[in-house]
Amino acid sequence: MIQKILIVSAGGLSVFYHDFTENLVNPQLVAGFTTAINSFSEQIIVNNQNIESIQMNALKMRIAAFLNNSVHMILFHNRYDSEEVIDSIVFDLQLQFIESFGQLNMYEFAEVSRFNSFKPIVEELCKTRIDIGIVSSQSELKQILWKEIFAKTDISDQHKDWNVYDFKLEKYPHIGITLWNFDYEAFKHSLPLLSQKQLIYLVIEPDFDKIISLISKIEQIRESNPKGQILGIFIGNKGLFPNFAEIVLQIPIFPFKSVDDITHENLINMFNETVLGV
Amino acid sequence: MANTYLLDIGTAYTKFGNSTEETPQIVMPSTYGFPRISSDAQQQQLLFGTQLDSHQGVLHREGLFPWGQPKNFEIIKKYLKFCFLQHSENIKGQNLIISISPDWSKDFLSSLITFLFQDFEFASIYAQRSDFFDFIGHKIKTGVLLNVGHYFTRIILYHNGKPVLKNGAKSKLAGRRIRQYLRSLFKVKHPYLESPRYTAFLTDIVENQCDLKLDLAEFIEQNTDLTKFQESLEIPQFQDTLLLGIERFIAPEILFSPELMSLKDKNAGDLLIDSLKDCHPSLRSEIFKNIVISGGGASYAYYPSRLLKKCEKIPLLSNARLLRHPSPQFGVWKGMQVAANPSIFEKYAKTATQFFAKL
Repeated sequence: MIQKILIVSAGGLSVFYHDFTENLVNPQLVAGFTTAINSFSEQIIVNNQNIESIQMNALKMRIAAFLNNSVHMILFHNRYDSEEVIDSIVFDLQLQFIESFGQLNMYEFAEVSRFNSFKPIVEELCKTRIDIGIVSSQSELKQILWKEIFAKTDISDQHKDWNVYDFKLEKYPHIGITLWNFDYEAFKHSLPLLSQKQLIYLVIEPDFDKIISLISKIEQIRESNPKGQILGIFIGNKGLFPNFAEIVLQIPIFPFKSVDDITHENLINMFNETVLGV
Repeated sequence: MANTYLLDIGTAYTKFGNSTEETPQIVMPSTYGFPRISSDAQQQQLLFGTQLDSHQGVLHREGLFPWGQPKNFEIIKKYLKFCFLQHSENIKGQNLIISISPDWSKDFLSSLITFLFQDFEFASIYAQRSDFFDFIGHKIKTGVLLNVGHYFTRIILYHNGKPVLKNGAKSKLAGRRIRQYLRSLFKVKHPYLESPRYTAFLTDIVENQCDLKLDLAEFIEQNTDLTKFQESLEIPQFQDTLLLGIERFIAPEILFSPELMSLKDKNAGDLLIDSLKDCHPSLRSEIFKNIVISGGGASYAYYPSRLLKKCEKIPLLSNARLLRHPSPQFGVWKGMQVAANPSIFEKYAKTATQFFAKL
């Protein structure tokens, strides 16, 4: 998911800033930082090499220079996003920017309000899709979980296929989410499909042996899908099981105290946090 | 009368001391390493045992006997010299009992004893397999030895004081895995613990803070307050704090649940069952009457109970008598003390003349 986009002029001034999240940043601070780091790299590296990206824990900051290095486009996106998709979005945004504002002298320009017209283009071009795989045992718990995911949706209007479901997050209308239903029982057959998912949720129950059996499954997923993020949905607050699962499986875990805790609202919150990058 | 000294070269620790002492006077990690910057430009400086933990900047650290095999005889010679130097008593002209590994070759053993006679001038040396000492420490001649060492967990069957098979069954699910697993549990929060510099810090946690539970699943189910088990430990020289919680109970679990690290090695229970299957049916009831448990990895209080739990479906194993020294890491030491008795020592020890005559 693309989280923020900034356009910085040659002088280090942020001329356009659009945030898809609620975590707003000071655009001038980011612009100043980018300009500083670029001039720093110019000084220490011969042949004037620009910094293209900065990798953070869950986020990646992409810096794309164009119009003879007079403009920098800065994109914050999640680590799980496909590089090819982000590359094409950056390219399209650059083309659109040049078409709309290419005639302006970016070295002298000061009137930032002129760039407000770029906002609808950004909103349209930054649309992305996330594939989320949810793996659980074939049990009553699965039914409850999926019933809550389907809640407030008329299934007849949606898919007939219960294994793939298009989900909407009101908070992030620019991303389309597809939820895929997988079973632990058919894990071996599901692995090729899971390797294509950006996020993988493992439903964990408070059972010692079942938790341990997930270790090798996580390893297999990581092997086939190194960029995918694996997360756990722990259901049932029994003893120290949630802590045990987090330590042994080494994945972030969303705990649901009981089956009653699986409400549509809680699930939405969980998806919101995950999509944002926990 | 000459004193008898005991030398037990284990894959984790080397123990040395006078046979009259209850515990060895010198207990030193069987490791060596090179400093990052050597003070001698001509020759690579070597660091041994605890020197490695106190030295600033270690380039390489390795066991003297990786996977039970001697790594480099020249280094082992220097290590033993260093080890004997730590001991204040004069060992010249004294007797020595040395425990040897079944993995060592005859050539290596001959070279080692030659070195001990020539460089330290011991009056006589008695070299015997460590598993033999484990048995005589418990005053039995027939039984099963389960040794949980640093690199291997090994089962050796003994009948009338002799091993039924030279090497027996072994598995890599041994003591070192506990430290490895503990390290991996903190991989995200404290990645720098991967550095060999923190081997001693983690070993200390494994030896003094970790505990094997009788039933970890039950323990996790019955407790709700995590803070009850949490303890803050200062990470030496890093100005950071390690919050040790239930990791201390999870790490030793690797000895019985290799799937925690996605390992396919057999646990001690499975090894015992395999050994029982391999044993000749006519000897089974006699040999499997006594199971001697030794080695540092088996020092957790509940280790024997966990072992029995793994074998509870097999009556011959579940009814066996489990013997374990109060400090299993010194099980061999106890046996060597028994062998230091003049009636045994004089019967089996060889003087330098006898040894070289045979060579």
